[in-house]
Amino acid sequence: MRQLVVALVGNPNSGKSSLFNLLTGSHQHVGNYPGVTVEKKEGYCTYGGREIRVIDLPGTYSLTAYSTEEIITRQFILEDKPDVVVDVLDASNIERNLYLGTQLMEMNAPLVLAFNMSDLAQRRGLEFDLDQLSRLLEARIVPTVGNKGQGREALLDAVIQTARDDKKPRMHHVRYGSEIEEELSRIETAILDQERDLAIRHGSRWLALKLLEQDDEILAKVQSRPVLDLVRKSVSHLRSIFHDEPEIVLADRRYGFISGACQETIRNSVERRHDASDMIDAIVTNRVLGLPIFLLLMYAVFWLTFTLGEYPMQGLEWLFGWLQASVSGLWPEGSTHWLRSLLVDGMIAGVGGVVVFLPNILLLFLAIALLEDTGYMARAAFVMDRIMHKIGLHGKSFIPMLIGFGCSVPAIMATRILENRRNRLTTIMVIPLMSCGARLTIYSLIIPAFFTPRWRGPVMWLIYLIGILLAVICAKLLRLTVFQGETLPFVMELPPYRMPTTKSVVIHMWQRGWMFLKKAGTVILGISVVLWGLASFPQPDPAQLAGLDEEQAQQAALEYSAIGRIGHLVEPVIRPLGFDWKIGTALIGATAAKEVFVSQLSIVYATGSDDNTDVLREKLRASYTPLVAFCILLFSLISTPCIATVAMTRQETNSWGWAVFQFVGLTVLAYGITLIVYQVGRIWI
Amino acid sequence: MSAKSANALTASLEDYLEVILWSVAANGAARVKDIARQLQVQAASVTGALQVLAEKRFVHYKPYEAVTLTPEGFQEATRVVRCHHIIREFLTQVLGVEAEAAEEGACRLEHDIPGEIVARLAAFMEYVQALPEPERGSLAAFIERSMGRTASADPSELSFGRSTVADMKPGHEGVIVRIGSHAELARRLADMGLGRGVLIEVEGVAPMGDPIRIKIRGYRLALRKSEARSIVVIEK
Repeated sequence: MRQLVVALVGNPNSGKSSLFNLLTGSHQHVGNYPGVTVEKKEGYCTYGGREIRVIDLPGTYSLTAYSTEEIITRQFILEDKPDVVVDVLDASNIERNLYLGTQLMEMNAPLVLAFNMSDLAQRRGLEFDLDQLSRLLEARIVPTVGNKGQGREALLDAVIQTARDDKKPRMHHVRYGSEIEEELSRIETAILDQERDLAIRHGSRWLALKLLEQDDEILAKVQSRPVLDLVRKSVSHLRSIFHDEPEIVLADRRYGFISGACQETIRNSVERRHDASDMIDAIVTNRVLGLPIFLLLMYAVFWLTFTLGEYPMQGLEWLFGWLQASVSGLWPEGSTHWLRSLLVDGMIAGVGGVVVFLPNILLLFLAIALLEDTGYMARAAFVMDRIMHKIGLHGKSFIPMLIGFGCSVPAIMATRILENRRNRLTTIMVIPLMSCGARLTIYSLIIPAFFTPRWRGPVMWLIYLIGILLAVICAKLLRLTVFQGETLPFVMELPPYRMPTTKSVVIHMWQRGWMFLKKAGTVILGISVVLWGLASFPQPDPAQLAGLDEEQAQQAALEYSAIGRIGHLVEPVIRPLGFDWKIGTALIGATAAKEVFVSQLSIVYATGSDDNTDVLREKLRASYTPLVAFCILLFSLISTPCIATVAMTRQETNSWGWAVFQFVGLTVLAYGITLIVYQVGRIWI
Repeated sequence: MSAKSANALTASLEDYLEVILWSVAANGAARVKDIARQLQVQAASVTGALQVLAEKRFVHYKPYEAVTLTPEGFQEATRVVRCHHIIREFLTQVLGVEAEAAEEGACRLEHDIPGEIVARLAAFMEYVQALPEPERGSLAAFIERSMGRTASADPSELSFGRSTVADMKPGHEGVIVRIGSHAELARRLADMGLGRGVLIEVEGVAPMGDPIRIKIRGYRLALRKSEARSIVVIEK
């Protein structure tokens, strides 16, 4: 038998994902819709002897043509014509959830309604007359509890039965009142007359409704002038009667229909004015307690990600160190064979450089999954919105930016929680300006070398502050130029608080980790190997190294290599910043990872391993002024942290263009600001 | 209707007093048929009213005799007339109401408006009279402009007294009257279920003053104050 295609739709926070997981188990695949950053989730299952392909469409509140999610969902239902559309509703919030349902009804989609979270609804005292409601809405209704695994069979039964149904036209329609119905029938007649093809494909009533709503997509599809003129007349006529846009009146009437249906079929046996969620909110979004609670939770997230993540990270570092030593041991001691170097310093170090992020990412997404599934995430956005909005961002942007203080890589990945594309891109662009943990290695080398103990703290603070300030300014600028556009309405639902299930949290966490490894991982590894190549080749003649001790040999080798040469080449360009080729070489190496700056600098100054940082510091002190030192700090702060950041930006934006934009932008910004500071500083000091 | 003292008169009785005052002033006494004609009522109604007024000792009335006012009646009658005058002047001079509408408004208001309020209106009128001409004129001009801005005399069109969700305090409820905002926001609000006649409850405000939390159709929504300002409500 033919494969059944089932589309899952529903409001955000309706538990659609857990229902999807319930239906498809581990047989799922996450990707992107072409050209956009919206996730595409597909999976399959076998039931009743049939193979069923399930598409999890993005969560939406409505099916207008204004957001990418809505357009994708609508297009899928209209063009791909799935066999069944399952609308997942939060049963304890039926009225609002049914709004989408009525629009699906009007699209004549073969509908099954999943009353999800029915356990919570029951606990709240809601009683449904499902038979009657089913008759009114002309769709099978199945109560489910997605995150507890209940209702799977019943749902799949309903799906199969609905797929078998004959496609009869609907009996019950949402009635919009005589004035609107009159205009509708006029437009319908015109459509049947002039646009037969469209009418056959989409249904005349639905088209008429969309035209009255002035739906951009449908308006573009209608060619016939008489129809468009008629629509225009109807719209202005209705506008004058109702003193409102027809689409608003239509929305109103839909809700009226829903209210009516619900009043007949739903009873609230327990009259509870304020439930547990209200009480929690009273504390959590309290004027006094709200902010401290938020900061506390943010601290917890940060701690979980970085402090707790430290242990597995060290474990992994040890593992890779061991791996490097083992592979290295396959060659005789002191060998400089290229394969040995490639494997040990190139590939293993490269893979290690990727995997080392995994604990942070998994833990971060554990924290995010907890925040989202409990419902707190929306409250966090609520508390922070005032500040974020002033910069042109959304309240939710705070969290990824905060994570950026630990490491940009998981921070950029965390921007997934931002729904608005422009907000998301802006946030991704400025996250690197949050001084990350890796830069600390540079700060702890440079600052004690050049500043007296009294100044060390303040200088560090200054650097962090400059980073934040620049981020704010850049965000504002970006929002005014590249990512400009009217701020989309904030209007955000605050979902009821819920207990997260281990299963959903773990699945969530795992999917993210896997995505990171597959996508960012490959890019990072690739670039690491390239950088290794640049640092290792060309190799100097062993004769040239004769008579030099180990450190001096390393120094010579580095200078001879591609990176060293590039460092020399770049010197004239970075001279105005107060930098010489040695710093240049270290900076180039540091594009792999900021920590590399220190080790590269040690090699260049022939101080070998970084155990001798004091020796290195003395040498630096002798070579540069405090102003130059400060410029090094500035440049490290502003320029791209590492290639992993670039790779992650590429992954999250689904385009190399933005990644390059970020890289070039940060580099130019770093150069410009450091230039100004150095030149002005030289005059003053 | 607020509770009135035993001696307080109903509207029509005050009208009688007024008429009698003018008649007595003009002719020395008032006759039943004159009163009936002026108030456009039946003679029988007049005699009934006169009996009540006589009981209250406002008038001297013996059947088939001309009517005169007692000192108390004179005081009450002048009070009513004065009220009428103050209100009418307020309506015409300050609010710029047309003479006929002002007359009718004054006739209605003079009977129910508490004396305290009339006294304050009088004081206010003194203030207005004392204003130099340009300021007095600008007051009237302002009213004209405000009225001119609205297409009709519909009070819900003006900004004073209009409440939006942004004005509501936590814990208060209201019913949505109108959503007046640009298309994008209006659509989003409509999609989320905010429409005419829907009950909305403001639950709280974020720690930094913005956004606000509301409850609608049984679920919770967060809105920026700037967005809330476009939702017009009548508060409970």
